[in-house]
Amino acid sequence: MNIVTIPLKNMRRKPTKTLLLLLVFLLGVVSIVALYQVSLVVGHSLEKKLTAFGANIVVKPSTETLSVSYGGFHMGDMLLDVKELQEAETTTAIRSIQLNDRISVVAPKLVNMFKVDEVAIAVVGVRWEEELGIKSYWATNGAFPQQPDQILLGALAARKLGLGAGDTLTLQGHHFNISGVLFETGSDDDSVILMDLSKLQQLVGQPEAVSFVEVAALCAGCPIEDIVSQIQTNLPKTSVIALQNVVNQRMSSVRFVQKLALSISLVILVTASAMVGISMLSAVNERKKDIGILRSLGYGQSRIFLIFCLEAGIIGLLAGSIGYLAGYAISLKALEYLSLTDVARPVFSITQLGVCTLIFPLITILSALYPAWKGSSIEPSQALVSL
Amino acid sequence: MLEAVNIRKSFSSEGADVPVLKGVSIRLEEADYVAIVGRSGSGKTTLLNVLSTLVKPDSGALNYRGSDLTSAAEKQLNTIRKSDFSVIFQFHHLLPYLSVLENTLLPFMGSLAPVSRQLEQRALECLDRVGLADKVRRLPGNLSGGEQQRVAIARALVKSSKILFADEPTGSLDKKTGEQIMQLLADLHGEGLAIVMVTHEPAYADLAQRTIELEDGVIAH
Repeated sequence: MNIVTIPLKNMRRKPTKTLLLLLVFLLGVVSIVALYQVSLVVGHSLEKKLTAFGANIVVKPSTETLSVSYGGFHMGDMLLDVKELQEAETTTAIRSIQLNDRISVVAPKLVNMFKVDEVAIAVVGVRWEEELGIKSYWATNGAFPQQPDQILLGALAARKLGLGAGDTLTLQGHHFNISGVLFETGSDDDSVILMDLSKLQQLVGQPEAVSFVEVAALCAGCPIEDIVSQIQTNLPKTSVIALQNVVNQRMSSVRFVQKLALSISLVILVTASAMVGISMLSAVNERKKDIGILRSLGYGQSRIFLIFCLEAGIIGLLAGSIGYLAGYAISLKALEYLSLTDVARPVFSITQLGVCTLIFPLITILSALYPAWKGSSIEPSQALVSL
Repeated sequence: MLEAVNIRKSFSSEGADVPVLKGVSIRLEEADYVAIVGRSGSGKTTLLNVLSTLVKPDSGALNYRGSDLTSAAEKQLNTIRKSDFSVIFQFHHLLPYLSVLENTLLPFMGSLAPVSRQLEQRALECLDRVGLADKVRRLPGNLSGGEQQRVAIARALVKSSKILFADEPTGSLDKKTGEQIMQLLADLHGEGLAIVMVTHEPAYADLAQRTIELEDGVIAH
């Protein structure tokens, strides 16, 4: 028996009223938890889908650019100390950062210039699986290469060379079948020949060499700067650049989903808190007699205040703990319904449960502050009128 | 022990101040037994509430063992209400959702620290004393009016109060039960408890050592 016994027993006296109040706040907590979990998964899923529209980080060798001019003539920029990256070493270093779970695709590339029938053209070696992972918008009139001796032409390159799907092209004495021609993308890909990276490395006699690596990172929940910084730490002799416009564009979609969920949650929370406040206010008026008896027994204002706060806190504690469990279960069902469970699943976290059982009692106590203050301000003489 | 000097108290009614006590002075000694009688509206209950510190007088002094309670801090008043003074009312003097035992121990349940075993044992003894040993787990709603009044008296006993203020303690009881309660009060007074009782019943007032008659807010005699 202690001061907690008083609000606990009072709540048991009116089980219907207590249950209704608990239900109102519980619904609020359940909605907030479910929305939070669903928005995380939807955001994650959305971002994963968006990675198919390009990389957001580029890793390239560190270079020094020298602008050359002599006698008033500008002779262009020269790149000094250019060293190709080593494929295995670089991709392993990128995949082993602390935030490696945020790395979605690592696409290495080697770029080289060749002459085909006296036409200078850039040839880009790629890992097809990775490349198609970040460029799912690519479409071809034929097929994507399946064999090392198959190549893909950009739309402008095909026009320039007068070649099409099914034709053969010779590079450095090696014959390649053109499996398809890309539909115009409006990017640099239109002007190049794309082929298997290993084959190109073999052609130029530079096994393992890559010119740069494109990385698609999932940025929800962590800033892109952190990922860039960690890659830079693992690869100190490279230049790691975040394509901020891509990141920002992508994150704005994810943030929209999260902001929407947050706004709805806030509305629900404010409504539920108002319900708790109103209910506690009516409880104060109903329980003037109790206040009078307690004041006559030496309960000070702080004790009366504490009793009402405890009552609200108990509601918040129950709603927070039960609401988290129910919200988690509902989010699972909702994601199953939305067919998103294959992308990601909500994570059951003891920490989140702990936070809910701490935060929601605090919110209900905050909602009950005014009623509790009003109750504690009732003078014994006022309360005695009720006796 | 407790002395009220020239107590005045008014209440507002329809925008006007209505004087209820017009300069009442009263002195209560250790183990005293005072009955306050008078017609309805004479100010009996208000005087009892002022003496028990539940109502603050507009003017006058209330001295308890050397301290002026009219200027005392809230904390000091709470301490006195918790330990030295006990009040029993005509109606609704128990919290309906707490058991008989919990109502008896209510003055000691005001903190997060649980009530000690010794206090619980003492409460059980006091309930035994007032004849409720077999009803300690019951809720007040399952008790008769007389039994409820006994719980309030047991509460005063657990506190080892110095003064018991009783406002019409038999007002809602039948004659037989009322007499039992009065006998219980007489026994407690015999053990040294000071009692201030408001009553309409002349027979019960006669049980007190002294009777104060209030008439229109002043002591008639």
